[in-house]
Formats: sequence, C-alpha cells, structure tokens
Amino acid sequence: MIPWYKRLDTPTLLAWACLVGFGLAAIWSSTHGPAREFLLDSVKNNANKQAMWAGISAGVMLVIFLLPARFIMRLAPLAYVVCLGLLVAALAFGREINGAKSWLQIGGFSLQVAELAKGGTVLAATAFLSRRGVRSVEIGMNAGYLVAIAGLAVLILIPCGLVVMQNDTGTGLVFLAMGYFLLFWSGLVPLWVVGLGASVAVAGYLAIVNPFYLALFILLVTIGYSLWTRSKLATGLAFAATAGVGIAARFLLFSVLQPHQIGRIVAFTDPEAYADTAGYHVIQSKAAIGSGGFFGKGFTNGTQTQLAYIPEQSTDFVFTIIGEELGFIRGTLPILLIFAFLLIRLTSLGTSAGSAAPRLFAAGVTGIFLTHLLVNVGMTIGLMPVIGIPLPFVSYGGSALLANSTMLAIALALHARHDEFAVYRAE
Amino acid sequence: MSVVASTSHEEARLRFRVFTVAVLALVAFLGVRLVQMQIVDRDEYVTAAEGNAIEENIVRPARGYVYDRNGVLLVDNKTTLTVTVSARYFDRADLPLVAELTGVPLADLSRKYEQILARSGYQTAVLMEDVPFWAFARLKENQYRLPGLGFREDQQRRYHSEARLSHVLGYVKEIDATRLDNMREQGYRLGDMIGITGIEAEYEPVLRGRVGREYMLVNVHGMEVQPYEGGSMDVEPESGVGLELTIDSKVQALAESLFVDKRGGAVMIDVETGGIISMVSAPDYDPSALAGRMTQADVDYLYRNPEKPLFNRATQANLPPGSTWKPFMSAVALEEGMITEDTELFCGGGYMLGRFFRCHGGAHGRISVRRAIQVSCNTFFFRLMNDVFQTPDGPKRMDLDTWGAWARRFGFGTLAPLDLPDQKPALIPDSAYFDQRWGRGGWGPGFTVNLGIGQGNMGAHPLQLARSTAAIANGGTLVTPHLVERQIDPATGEARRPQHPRARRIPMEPRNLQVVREGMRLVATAGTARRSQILASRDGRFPEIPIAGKTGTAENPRGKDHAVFVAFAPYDDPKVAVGVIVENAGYGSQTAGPIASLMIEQFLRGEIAPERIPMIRSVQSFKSVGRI
Repeated sequence: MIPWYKRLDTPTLLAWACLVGFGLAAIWSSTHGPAREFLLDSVKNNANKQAMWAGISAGVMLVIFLLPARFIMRLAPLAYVVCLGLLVAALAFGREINGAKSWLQIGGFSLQVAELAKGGTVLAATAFLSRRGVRSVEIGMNAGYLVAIAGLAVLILIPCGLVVMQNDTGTGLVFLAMGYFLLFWSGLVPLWVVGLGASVAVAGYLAIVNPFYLALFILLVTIGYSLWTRSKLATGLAFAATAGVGIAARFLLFSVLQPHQIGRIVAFTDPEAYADTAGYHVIQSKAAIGSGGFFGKGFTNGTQTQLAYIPEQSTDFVFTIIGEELGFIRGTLPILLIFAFLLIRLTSLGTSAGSAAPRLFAAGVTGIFLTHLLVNVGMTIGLMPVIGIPLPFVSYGGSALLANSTMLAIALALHARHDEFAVYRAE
Repeated sequence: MSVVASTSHEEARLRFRVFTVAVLALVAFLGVRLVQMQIVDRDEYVTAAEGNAIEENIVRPARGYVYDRNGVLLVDNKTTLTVTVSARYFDRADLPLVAELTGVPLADLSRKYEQILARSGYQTAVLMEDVPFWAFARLKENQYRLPGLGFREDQQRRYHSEARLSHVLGYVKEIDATRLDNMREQGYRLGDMIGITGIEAEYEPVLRGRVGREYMLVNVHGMEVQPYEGGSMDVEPESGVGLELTIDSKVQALAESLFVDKRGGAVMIDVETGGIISMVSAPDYDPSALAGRMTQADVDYLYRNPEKPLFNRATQANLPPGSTWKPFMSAVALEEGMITEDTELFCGGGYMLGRFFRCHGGAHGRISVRRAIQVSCNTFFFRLMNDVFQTPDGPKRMDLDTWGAWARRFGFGTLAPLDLPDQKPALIPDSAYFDQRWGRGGWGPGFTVNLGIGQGNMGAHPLQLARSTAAIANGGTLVTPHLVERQIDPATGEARRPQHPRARRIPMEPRNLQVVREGMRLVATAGTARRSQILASRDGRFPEIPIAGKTGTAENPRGKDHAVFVAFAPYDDPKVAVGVIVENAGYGSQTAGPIASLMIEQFLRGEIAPERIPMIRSVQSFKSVGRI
C-alpha cells in the first residue's frame, strides 16, 4: 500500500504556492510604491498580514493532511452546522463592510464567514451525496430520487440564502454554481440536463450583452439538442429554457429593475455610458490591464495601481495589479494557465481516486474556484458585471485564503488517502 | 430504462472530458480578451491611463511689483499657504475636522464650501487663504483622511508704503464667476487673483505675467504624488512686469494724512507731462485688508458704509467748482474777444436778472479781469455769462453751447484718457440738458447765469480741476493724465515707457492765459489765498515758492458748502498743478487751500518747513460735517 504522503500531489501544491506568491507580490506592490505615504497605516501592512495568513493556511493544510479521510468526512455535519451558525451570527452581530454584513469579529481577527461556509457546505454536500442510499437511487420519479435532489437543494440553499441576506449576492451565486457542479458530477442528472443548465446560464449572460447573440445562441442550442438527443422533449425544453430565460432577463432589465440596478448589471457592456457610477470600476480596471501591455509597466511602476485609481485593488481587483505591472506574458497569462492546470488537475485527481467522496469534493471545490476565476477576472476585463468576489489564493483576504487553502487541502487529502474509503464503502 | 445515480468509470471519464473542455473554453474566453486588451488595443488603454494620472497645473507667476516715481517700493508679494478643495473627492462630512485642525469656525468653512459648490463641483477651488503655518502642518499630517484637500503656495499682495494709495492701486481679489466666464480663454482659472480696480485692474495683463504649467502624477484622491517625466515637460511661469508710478509716495502720504475725517479728493499733476503726482480720495480703505482674508467688519466698511470708501472722489465726483471756475471763464471771455485784459465792468454789489444775484465782498465798482479774479467778483462773471459785448465781429453774448465747448476743451464734462478704470465725466450742461430737464422754452438766462461762477447745474472733480489748471499754467496744453511712468521687465530690468495718448492743444492765445495766471497770482499774494502762500523758510534754507491759485466755495443746498481750491506753482515756471475739493468744509481758503499749499511744498522742497507744521495740524482738525 502506498503511504498517503507519497500520493500527495506536489504539482497542485506548487500551483497553490505560485498563486499565493503572485498575490503577495501584487499586494506588496500596491502598498510599497510611490503612493505608500498616502495609505492608511492599517493598509500599509497588508502584504505582511497576507503572508501571515499564508503561513497559517499552510499549517492548517498540513494538519488536514495528517487527519484520516473518514474522520474528515465525519466532521462534515459538524462543519456544516458550525458554518450555518457563523452565518447566522454574522447576520446578527456582524460588521458591515462595503455594504455586505458578512464579517464577524472574533478576538483580534475579522472573519468573512461566507468564505468558510463554502467549504463547510461543499463538505456536507459531498458527504450527503456519497451516502450509499443516495448513490444507489434510481433516476426517475421515485421517492428516493426526489429526497436526494431535495436534500442537496436544501443543503445548498440554506447557506446560499443566508449569504444573500448578508447582501453578498456574488457569493450566493457561487453556492448555486457549486450545486450545479455537484449535480453534474453526482450523476443524479443526465448530461443533457446538465447541458441545459449551462445553456440557460449562457443565455442569461447573452441577454445582458447583446440580443442578437442571444437569438443566435437559442437557435444553435435548439439545433444542437435536436441533433444530440434526437428527443423532441429535450429539444423543446432546451428551446423553451434558453428563450424563456433570455426573454425574462431582458424583460427584467428593461421593465422591472431600477436604473441604478440595471446600471450595475449592464455597465460592463458600455462602461463609458455609466462612467460616473457603475462603469467607473470597469473603465479604470480595463485601463490598468490594457495599458500593462505585453511585458507590463514593471513592478511597482503601474500608474493606475500606484495612484490608486482602482478601488478594492488588492482584494477584488488584484488581477489589475498583475495585468498592469507584469503584463500579459509575465502576469495574466501565467495566472490563467496555473488556474486551468489547478482546476483540471484537481478533478483528474478526484476522478482517479475511484470513490465518490474524493471525486465529488474535488468537483465542488473546482466548481467554486472556476466560478470565482470566471467572474473575478471577467469583471476586471469587462466581460462580467462587477460582482465583488475575490480571485482565489491571489486576492488579499485572510478568511478567503484560509478557506480556499483548506478546501484544496481536503481535496488533496481525500485523494491521497482514498484507500481508506474502501472500508467506508463496505459499510 | 432506469439508471442508477452512482456513476460508472466510463461515465466519470466522459464527464471529466466535458469538464476539461469547459474549463479550457472558459479560460480561452478570458485569454482571448486579454490578448485583445493587452496586445492589440494596448495604446488605447495607455491613453486612458495617462489621462487619469497626469494633471496639468497652472503655475501662477509672481505679480508685478509697483514703485513710486523715486523707485520706492509700494507693493510686492508675500508667499502664503492656501488650502484648496476638490469637491469631487472631498467629503463634506470632513469639514468639522478641517475646522478643528485649523481653528476656523465651521460656519465660515461651510459657507465658503457652499460657494465653491455653487460655482463648480469638479474644479479645485480655494477653501482657505493665508493659512498660518501651524494650521498647514496639522492639515498636512491629516491629509490622508481628508481626501480632496490640497495645498498650494500663493502670492498675496503686500503693501509697504505709508501712503495707502487705495484708489490708485486698487486691489486684487479671487476671480468671480462672471469674470471667469469672460476671461477663461486668457488662461484664468477658478481661484486666480485678478485686479478689480485701480492700476491693478488697468494693468492686469502686464502685472499678471505669463502662467506656467507643470505636469504631475495625481492619485485618485487628487493628491500630487510626483512630477510627470521628472518635470521635463513643465513650462516655467514668467513674472509680471513691474510698474513705476508717477506718484510721489511722500506727497501722497502727506495728502492722505491731511484728509483725515474729511470727504473729498485732491489731485496733483505735472503740468508738462500729465504725470499724476498725488491722487487722494477720502475716505479710503486699506488695500492690505482686501488682499487677504476679509473680516465682516471689512465687508461692512467697504460695501455698506454710506460714505462709499470704494468710490474714487478724485475722478468720479460731480461737484460744482464754485469760484475756481472763474479763471476758466476769464480765459474764454478773453479768447472770444468779449473783453480785453483792460476792459472794466461795473459791479454794484450784485447782478439783477429776475432776482438779485449778490456779489460777496460788497460793490467792487469798475473792475478789470485780473482784479475780478483776485477779489472773486461774482458780478463780473455774471456779466460775462449773460451780457452782450461789442467785439470786432459785432455784438456777442456767451452762448451755452459755446461755453460748453470751451469747457470740454479744458477737459471738463469729458473722460480724460487716464490709465484708471473708474472715472466719470461730471456734468457740463448744454441746451439739450436744460430742455430735457425744464422743457423746451421752460428755462432762460436765469437758469444759466450761475454757470458763470461755477455754481448751479454743473460739476467737476479734482482731476479735471488739476488738469485744466495745468493747461492754464503751461500755456494751453491739455496734458494726458497718467499714473504709470515706466514698465520694468522683472528679468532684465529693462524699462519701457507705456504709450499714453498725446496731449492736446487748446486753441487759445497764450497771452490770454498769461492774464489769467496774473490774476491767479494776485489771489495768492493779495486775495483769498494769502494763507496758502509758501514763503521763504525762516531758517533760510528754502526760498519762496510763488504760487498762483483760486479759492472756491461750492454752494451746497443740502448741507455745509464744499471747499474748493486750484493752484499751480511755481508761478514763474509752473511745474505742478493741484485741484482740491473738501466736501462740507466751508470756505476754500480754510482747508482746500492749505492742503494744496502743503502738497506743493512737500513736492518741490521734499519737506515741510518747520514753521508750517502747525498748518498741518490745523488742516487735520477740520472735519467734514454731516452726512452725505
């Protein structure tokens, strides 16, 4: 039997270290350039604080590697309940930062509990879906199947709802995406239904961007479904779902929402038109990344970064620092490639483990990371609305770094110790 | 077909492939966009980023200095610290903190901030001027939590002379919205100082200099972080041109001191060049109070005071000249051929025209023009205005419009080509004026005969009195009054004379003016202005300065009469002419005469002889009585 530490995936750990390193460099740059003297004292130390959190995260990861896999899975209900408790506590006693009441003051630390809740939820959902009873339900209109689907829905929607109540819609979306990826990997729904979900998401996006593209997409999806499934029901559903969501989204945009809400959603499609309000972030962020060019302006030399034109620059907009100062070849392209590697590697490890828990946990975690990557980078380059969620491992923020590192460690640990599930499986 | 949820190995591999493709597609989606932004369209974004971060600042040049005719420094600049605010970055909730740090009342700051917002919510504007250094230091320490607050070194006018010269120098103030709209093209910006009156306004373009520009990297809070390109793109400002005035600050200071507690004005002019040696208007104001922060008391004094200290009585008054008009009348009558220098007219103690116009000093009997000036015989001048005279061209009577045309040739009723913005022509009536006032045919000789003795519906101001007296003194040249003698380039020290309009010639026989001058000399030696003579000093250092002049008392139906005096000196070689009006101060010989006499002495001797010092005190003790 191969010992667990030999199965621990070094390339993934290296990717983790690279991303954290990029993040530390960007945060250091934004607090040690010419603008340093204008910063608040509390902000000047951000690089040190993040380095400290990276150290804590590494320690926690090590502890997780030492825990037995089954013990980790048994912790799931407890972790879930604790996370819900923290979410409720944040709603009740939390501190409001940037309009979201998602911070809990514990001792000297501010904890962003929504970040931790993602980990607790994905662990709980994995544990639920790996239960023998759930895995063996027949797909169809039977009680066991409906209980499985409803159970997953309840597990995810409770924390999701609490996070939305904290006014953190972005993280709420991440919970939904996580649920979607878990459904995809659990086998509870056939692939064409999974495809339907993705099509609906794309239709909603295109409804914001361009109605012409939306029409084209509905047409392509309908044709594609008819060729792929050869089922009138599936084709009809695909057409109805994409067209329905597209039209509903446009109706919502132009008839129901208030102008400032519309602005927040559509500003990225034409930021100049919303330059005074929601478009400001997008204009500044694009100017930073675009002006960085191929090689970047040089470390601590970015005018947009150093002169603080980008709000939230070391947290949600950390990608702009990398884009402006390090450029395409030294900054943005490596980040994308590392993320692509990390996501594919994690799912590959989960799949190769052969048992449900490692695969599903890896699926949930990659779902979370992928959503964060897409929304965060997309927002900085004007492809997505400005939804404030951080770039995993890179953005400044101790809670997020700790939570993301913990999730990554659990995924690695479940893979490395998947042998232990043989017993678990026999129960 | 029923399928169990638990996925098979193949099923898992398929889903892994789908997932891998999806991840790669999404990453490619982001990557393509990054290629487009960072490689294809990079230049566009560079422009946007630079437009953000580079700010053009106008660097204000030092305003030109002002000197008097002897090179005495009157006005220069001091550097002051100014606090600016960019409303677009500033949070007004921070105003209490600013007030606390600087000790300025919050109400004042709020009011000022309202004014700034009313003008522009975007441009940087001045919040506080002339901030003491300790307040500046405290603000600077707290700048990080006061976004939108900025600092600037400014220049403020600093006044050195004991002569206030309020109405000559004028003052500078922050440019207001109306002026800004009109002058934006000339490079004026919100917060710029601009000359409002006096030579500060008249010579604004040269005093201001040329603005420089500097380019700074500015952070999002509007704070300047460092020079752009190391400052290599900056343009240095050019200092404003210095002005050397024709004013003698000693004479000016003396004249101002003589006007304490009085309303009125005085002008002393060089009879050859037209350079204004002294120009006083009382009450005046302290220009340094206007240069900096104004208190409520300053505002009340300047704008609410019924005596209107901003009003320049030396160039804007409209008061009857009284008997000082008689030299002019004499010259005109001689020139028109109505009388000769020996023609004698009869004074029986008054003149009958509808009613009896009394001549003061009793009946003068048969009297010629020199003596008529000397004793100020009203009857003589009533006759000149109204009687018919035999001339070589036949019978002739002074016609109102002829009279007016001569008055204008002497500079009355018109604006002088003067380098000051505030001037009024004063009233020289013509028949149209009387028609309009009393109706056509509704007026007759009884309405105009008073004009012969400088009373009634007419007016003049000290500048016109001095200028016309200078024309009599220099033999008929109407000089161009001016205040700036030379413009001095601050960099090279080179001096340039500004082009003032040329003097005009009054078409008059010099001999006729000589007769008038002789009459005016008699006024000083044996007439109403004996007190104003400047005799040889008792210590023998100075010989006599022979002066010639004419006193006047302008009747004031609403209060005490106005004292008027005109003079020139020295009589045999005229250098200066003076016109003085002291409102509500009685006879011209009591206050106006001594004021002119002392000014002449100070200018020609450079000091006041000891035995004449009591005269200063005596003049100072007179007060203008009543209200305007």
